[in-house]
Amino acid sequence: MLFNSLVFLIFMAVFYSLWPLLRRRNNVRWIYIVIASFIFYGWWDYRFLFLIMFSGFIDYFAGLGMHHYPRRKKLLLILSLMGNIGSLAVFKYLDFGIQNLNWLLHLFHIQENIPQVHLILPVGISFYTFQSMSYTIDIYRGEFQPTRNVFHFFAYLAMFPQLVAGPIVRARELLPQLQQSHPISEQQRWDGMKLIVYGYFKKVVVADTLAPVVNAAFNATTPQDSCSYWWLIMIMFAYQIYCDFSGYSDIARGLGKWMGYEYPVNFDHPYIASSFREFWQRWHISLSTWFRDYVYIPLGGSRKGNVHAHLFMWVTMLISGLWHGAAWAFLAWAALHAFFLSFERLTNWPKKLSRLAVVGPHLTTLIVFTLTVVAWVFFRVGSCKLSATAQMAWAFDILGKMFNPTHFNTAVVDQLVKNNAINVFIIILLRQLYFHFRLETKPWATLPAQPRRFLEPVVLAILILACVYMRGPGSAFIYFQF
Amino acid sequence: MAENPKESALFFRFALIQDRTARTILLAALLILGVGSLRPQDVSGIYYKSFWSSKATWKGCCDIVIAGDSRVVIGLSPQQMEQFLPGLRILNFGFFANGYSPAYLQAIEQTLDPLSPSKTIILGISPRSLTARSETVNFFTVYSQQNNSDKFLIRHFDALLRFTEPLSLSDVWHNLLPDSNQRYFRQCYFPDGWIASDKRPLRPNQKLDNYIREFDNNPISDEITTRLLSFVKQWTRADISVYAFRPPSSIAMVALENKYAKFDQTDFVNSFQAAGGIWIDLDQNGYQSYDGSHLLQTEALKLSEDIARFVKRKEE
Repeated sequence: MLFNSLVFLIFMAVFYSLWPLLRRRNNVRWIYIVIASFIFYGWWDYRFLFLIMFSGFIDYFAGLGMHHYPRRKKLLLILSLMGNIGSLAVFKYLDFGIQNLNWLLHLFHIQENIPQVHLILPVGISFYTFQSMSYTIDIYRGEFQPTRNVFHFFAYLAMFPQLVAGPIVRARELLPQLQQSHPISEQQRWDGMKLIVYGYFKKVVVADTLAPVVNAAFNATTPQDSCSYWWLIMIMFAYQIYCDFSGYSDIARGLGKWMGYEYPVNFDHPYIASSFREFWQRWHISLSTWFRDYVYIPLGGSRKGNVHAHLFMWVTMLISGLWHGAAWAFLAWAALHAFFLSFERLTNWPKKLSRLAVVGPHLTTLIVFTLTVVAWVFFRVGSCKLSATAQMAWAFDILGKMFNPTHFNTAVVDQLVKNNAINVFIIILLRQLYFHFRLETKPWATLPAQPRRFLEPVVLAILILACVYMRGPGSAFIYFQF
Repeated sequence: MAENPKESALFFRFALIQDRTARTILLAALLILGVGSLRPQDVSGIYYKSFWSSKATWKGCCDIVIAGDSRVVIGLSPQQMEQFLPGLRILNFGFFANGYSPAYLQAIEQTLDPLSPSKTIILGISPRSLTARSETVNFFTVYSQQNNSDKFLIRHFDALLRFTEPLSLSDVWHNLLPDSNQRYFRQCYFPDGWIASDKRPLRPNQKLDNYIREFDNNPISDEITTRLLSFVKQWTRADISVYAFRPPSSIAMVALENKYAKFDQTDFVNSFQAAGGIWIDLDQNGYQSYDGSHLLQTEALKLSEDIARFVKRKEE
């Protein structure tokens, strides 16, 4: 079920109407969450439910096993990780592996082709698998006790707001919350409402309006030969993916609040970051911290010296690239970010540049943003249905055009200006500048409590109106494919 | 909470005013109703999603089926044709961006009533409908693969969906000030499969550049042409009359398509006739197009009449 579908709105109305009645008793609440979440998830394809149950049961029993047989907990952890990574490997990476194996065979003049399997990628598999793994790893580390109640566990794992595109919530954060049942306060309801409306606005008005323009550029048989065109397209894509993904996270957090649960903040204005380190502290925070806690630090983090720290960071980033998609283009995207991070650690350029009077801090942010946009080229071609070689060729072709100012074709830019996408693009850029210059902290930007209480609902109602009548033609959320 | 019913009602009203979430939802609902009612009312016909969704499910329900791409959908009115072919049930089974894929060819045949004594298929042959890209990206594929829940929603909530369709500010503006209504694009969806279209101002060269891009690395496919002709052969052997025509667009478009799509009409017509089909020769410049590709509704009525008269002559 997509958040931006009528079916979901009906589902939401039914779920939240019954929630006050069914939330009071633990078992009833958990069963209600599990049934609703399974309906939500099974709406795509009921067969996906078997996989989430398989993944869930592995970790549920592994958790209990570790508690009862502490001496076997390492073995149980390995089995649990094998189960989770195994299902990811089969559904997400099998064809990628076969493609590369075929390529290797050809390199050794073996003309046999291993046929690809073409399995359907279950929606959100990377998200719930990681969420499930964190449960077992945290129990292994002794950070909390496993739950004995299978519904309690599945209410955590399958909870519909964050199930398919995050935030990736840790068991130690959500399981204790699920044991409580407080009535929802007016403030919680209002905070949830704000998040949901902002989330929908980002998704259906901004991202979905930008999507057709970006898709048309990438679906063309030959890329447009214009530097200005590709910069504009790539900046649009940067905001499309940000609004698409952070919009989903906002809606998920808002829906969580309406149930009385708190999910972590997943995006914190990433494009105002003044270093790549800061960018990764602001972008998809729940995934970055997951990789930090379960990959980078266990590898050794920065405890083993500088060289190792760089190496571990590269390994972590490359795994993160693969997490996003089984394609060399995603690895190239991750490698580029790893390079930016390494270069930043070695030279400390953002700090030095930001010391420049007046323009320094702004220039730093602009450079980080520009390089992020450049890296997005690889990320976007990774989603094109092309061979690995063609994807990389496309990426380098586009980059060549972006950095060739002699082909500055204003006629193509004019075409984009005529499209409605340019309007939302300008709105989102202005919003970015608003936060970059920290205008939200200025005294004039903060209204007194009474007028705010009146004006905020009006603003939100207008945003809802925009979501209904100004929504773009896009549909699914980009991050579902991961 | 107060127990007394009177107090309860008071409490509810008070809570509603105090609760910002409820206040926002109420206000938003009023705004949606208000703005939705500003939608231009001259849009008659059925809701476009119901139009496509139901069209994709037609089976065994007509004597004459018209197939093709957007030029056919916009260019032929079954209702108009029925005036000249009385007693025959005619449906326009064209889809936007459509190509003659195996699934579509089978669906064309299945649209005909198997018990009809005068089964007829009329094919609109635009070069684009014979390209490889048109086979994969088209409305037929989208709507014939629509899931059941979407079909259910479109069938039962079409009024709500229609009311909440995206709305451009210019639509609202023109509705408020009809005198300024010099630029518009109107489409009316008829249950028989026709979309009546009208656009002002006319831009007869508008689509030319799009089509040059469309045929870039995407000329007509011999495989699709051969498949289409084999279906034609199969149909004519099964006593189905098969007609075909090149949907009129504009002289510039015809020249462009022949050049970029590498379409040899004479060659195609010969093969089509050899397969048992009847070719309808039309004056490509005889009907006015609003964008160089699609016909104005008045011209579509004229074309429908011409084709219906041709079929009638042949059947007599």
